[in-house]
Amino acid sequence: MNNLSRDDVDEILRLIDNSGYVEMRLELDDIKIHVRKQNDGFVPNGSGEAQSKSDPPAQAERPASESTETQVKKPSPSPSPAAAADAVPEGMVAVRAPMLGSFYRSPTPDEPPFVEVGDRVEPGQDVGLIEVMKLFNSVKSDYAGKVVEIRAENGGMVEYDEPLMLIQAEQQ
Amino acid sequence: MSLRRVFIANRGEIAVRVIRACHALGLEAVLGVSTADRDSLGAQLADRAVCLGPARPGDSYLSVAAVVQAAIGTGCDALHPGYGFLAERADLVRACEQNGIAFVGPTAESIEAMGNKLVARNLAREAGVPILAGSDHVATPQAAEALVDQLGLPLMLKASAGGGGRGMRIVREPGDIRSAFDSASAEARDAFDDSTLYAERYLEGARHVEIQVVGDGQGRIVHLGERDCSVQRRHQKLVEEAPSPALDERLRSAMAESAVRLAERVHYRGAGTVEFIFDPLREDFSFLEMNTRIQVEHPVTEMVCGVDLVAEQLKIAGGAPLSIVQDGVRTDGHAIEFRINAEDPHRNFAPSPGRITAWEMPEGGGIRVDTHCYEGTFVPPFYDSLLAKLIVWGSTRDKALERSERALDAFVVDGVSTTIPFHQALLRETDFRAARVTTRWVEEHYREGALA
Repeated sequence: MNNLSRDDVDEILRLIDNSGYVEMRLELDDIKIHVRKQNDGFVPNGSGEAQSKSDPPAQAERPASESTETQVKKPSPSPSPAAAADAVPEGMVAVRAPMLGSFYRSPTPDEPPFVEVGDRVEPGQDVGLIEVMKLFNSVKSDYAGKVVEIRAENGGMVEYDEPLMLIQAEQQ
Repeated sequence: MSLRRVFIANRGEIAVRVIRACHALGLEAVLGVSTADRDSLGAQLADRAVCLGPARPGDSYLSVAAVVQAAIGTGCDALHPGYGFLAERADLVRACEQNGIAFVGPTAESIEAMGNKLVARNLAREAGVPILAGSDHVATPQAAEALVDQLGLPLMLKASAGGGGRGMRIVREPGDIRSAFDSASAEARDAFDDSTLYAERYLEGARHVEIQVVGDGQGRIVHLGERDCSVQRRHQKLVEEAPSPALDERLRSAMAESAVRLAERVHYRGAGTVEFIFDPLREDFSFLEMNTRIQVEHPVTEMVCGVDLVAEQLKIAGGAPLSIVQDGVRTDGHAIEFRINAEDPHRNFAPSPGRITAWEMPEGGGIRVDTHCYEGTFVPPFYDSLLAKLIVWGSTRDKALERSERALDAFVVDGVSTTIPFHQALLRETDFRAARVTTRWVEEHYREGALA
């Protein structure tokens, strides 16, 4: 297959559009096609170079650096950035990120989110996806209860152990 | 291309060292941490810290996917791997390249060539670098037995994928060759998933001397002289110094020229180290291996050359030409580095993790401490035991030794055991003062009774 007609391309686009997949790469000899769906709010992270450039700047406010290499000032024991957003209100439990990656609330961009605020979840129920270098991993709730807050932004990077959503747990 | 934000895929003192170099160059630094390092000094100094995964290194610092995903997600345009962990992993370099992130280090091809010790040995020979009498791939115990006649004894069986002393066996008796072959290949298979062995003549009474090189990736190589790392225990370096007290000018320049030829041959990019074994009796040296990363002991070179090697790495990764020319490299004085590890020299260097309850560092002219520790730091049991590097400079070796004694006496650490008493005892040894130690000296001559 050396020539790819406009009709062929249209057919490929239709196929991916109707499929449950977000992204497709097709390579035929020297022809390479890379198709990616971008629905509202669903922006897969991790493969777009242009996107990483426009990310918000790294957290500012660094401690004043020392004047020489020979001395290490004793730092104040402030909580690290990674732990800052960790607080979970009393009476609630958090579904935490099992790994660092991009968090998605729905199985595909066309489908509704796994859970919404107010939904009741069961232990073992899928509540989200985390993508790490194009591999998708499901996030499950360990608890039974009502979802009261979804903290992680759809498509955004979550750190390992970061609270993704809060659940009002039911007494077991 | 100029860099803006650097992801640091490491921990401990080297993470702090790289963060400082980034800030000195006006670059932002993002540090990936495990859950055990969330409150580390590096996490506090970095512009941002992100949690890569749990404490176990395989799920955090050794995960290429987590590290690259974190670098992309935080908008970094470069990644510094430090030493250890993923520093010499070609798949990390490729993952960075595929995602538009500049890897602060050599190409994947250089890492692969030098990571395979047999390939590296052949490259060295082709570049006219002296190598030890040795073999190609030794596939069977029978082939190993044949080598006893060919090379003579003692010889050393080495894992081609090896490093850190694993997959290595010294053979002194002809009857030991089979069991050495079996255990070395099994260890190599377990450690590196590759049981390929080769053999080299083993030198008794040798010193370890290495040359620091820096390359621009276009074939231009500058060397920054040598480091002598002969004080080792089980292939782990404990003390390093520059220049080597065992080399004369003729050997020094011959060794440096050899290292430059090898680096030129692979168009080496960034900072690297060519390691040699030096035989002080015969006054000759042979290629051991090339390390394609910044080394733990790089500060002794910085102290005598006045060059910031980590800053140089970052500039090269950003596409800048080398800021050093060979004629401009001048060494001044003598520098010694002591590795302060959380290990108990009274108990066979057993690891000593725990909470540091007191931490006072020596200060003054000619003294530098690279560390991530302070009073209250918890030393987790999951990682290597390096707490700090004490680097002492003097206008001569004797003056550096004298200053080292005072600096070690002033270094107070409580809560965990450290190698400070070992270093204090070492400074009293005439073999060390007279530069007569070999790489086996600690194992053969050092006694716990020598400790204060």
